[in-house]
Amino acid sequence: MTLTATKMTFEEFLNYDDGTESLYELENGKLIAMPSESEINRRIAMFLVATFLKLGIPSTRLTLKTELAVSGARLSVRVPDLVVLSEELAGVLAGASRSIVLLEMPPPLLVVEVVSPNQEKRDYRYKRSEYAARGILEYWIVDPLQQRVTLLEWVEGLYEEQVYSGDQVVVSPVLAAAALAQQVELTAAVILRGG
Amino acid sequence: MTTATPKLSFEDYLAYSDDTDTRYELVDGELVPMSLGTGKHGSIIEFLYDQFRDQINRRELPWTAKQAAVGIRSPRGRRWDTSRIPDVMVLPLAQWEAMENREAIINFNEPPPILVVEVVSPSTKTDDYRSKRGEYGLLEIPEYWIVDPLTAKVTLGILDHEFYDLVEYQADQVIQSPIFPDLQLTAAQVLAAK
Repeated sequence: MTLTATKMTFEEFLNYDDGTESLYELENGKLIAMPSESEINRRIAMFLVATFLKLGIPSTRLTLKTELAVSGARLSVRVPDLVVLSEELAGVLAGASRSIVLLEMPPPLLVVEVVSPNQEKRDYRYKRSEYAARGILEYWIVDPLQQRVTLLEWVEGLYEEQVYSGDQVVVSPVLAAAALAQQVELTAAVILRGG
Repeated sequence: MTTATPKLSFEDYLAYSDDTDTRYELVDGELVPMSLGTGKHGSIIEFLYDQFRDQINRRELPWTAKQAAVGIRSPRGRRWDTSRIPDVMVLPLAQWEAMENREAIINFNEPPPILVVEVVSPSTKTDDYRSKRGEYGLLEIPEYWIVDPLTAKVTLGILDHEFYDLVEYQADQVIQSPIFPDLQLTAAQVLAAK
């Protein structure tokens, strides 16, 4: 086994400041700069926020780019594109000086990642294991590159996978439970177009 | 969920003794006794243990195999208060020797073992196929064998970027193990262990 450069600890990560506005993830001790977003990825994330609001999920329970501590082989930090918080978690986070979901906090209800080029392994593999171990009930992988939406539902410790494309209506138990307003039919195509 | 008993921290778990020979896993801070498996369960464990040892000796690898003797601290939920004890574990000899005078548990931030095996029993079925698949993947254990006498199949999880791809073997299909490429074992041979 090769010894790589010193690994960054979780505490070092929390204190890290390189004087720029860059967002970083911490992946098993490695600092990873978040790539800049394409316009389509931004539109998809914003469209989902608008849709979730329409469904009656309060804005206090929706968050973009909130940091999320997860366990890998070490403690890691992810920055999901969109997160739906439980009421309990939103309460815990209220007043926090840094918007980060720590390991000892309750898990988010739903996490959405919009796939960027060259990030496929991260979204489809690493994060799939990390979010399942963190007990996140639903994980959506929205993939404009492959034109499909993968909905992963947490069942007894592991995600069950459902893949949607084209005019297929995405079925989300978490949304159905969290939404106050009437259900809207959300197809894969509409999500992938960003509205 | 009802929690009548107080939760144990990982440190409590390391120090825990109830003056019996019962071995426990720690799952989300709760002690889970390791039930004595069926005779079949024990036979499969011993068979694979012998096979792995034989491979290690033949190839003169600096590894060792152990039967339910090593725990591994596992990421799960909010804290690291889970410790699994796989039925068979293959790990570097140096790593095993380093545990000589401390609890035989691979703690977090330590390198993962090379291979682990779980033999499925009715009570552990869900965990073996689901939670442990996630946990062992996150721990970056390169190979995870799930031997299931209940459905007569052997499933190999091959790690790729912290997530296992599964390959199933039944009957006379020869198991293809990247860790032990010279093994010539069929699923039936493993499942028929006596």
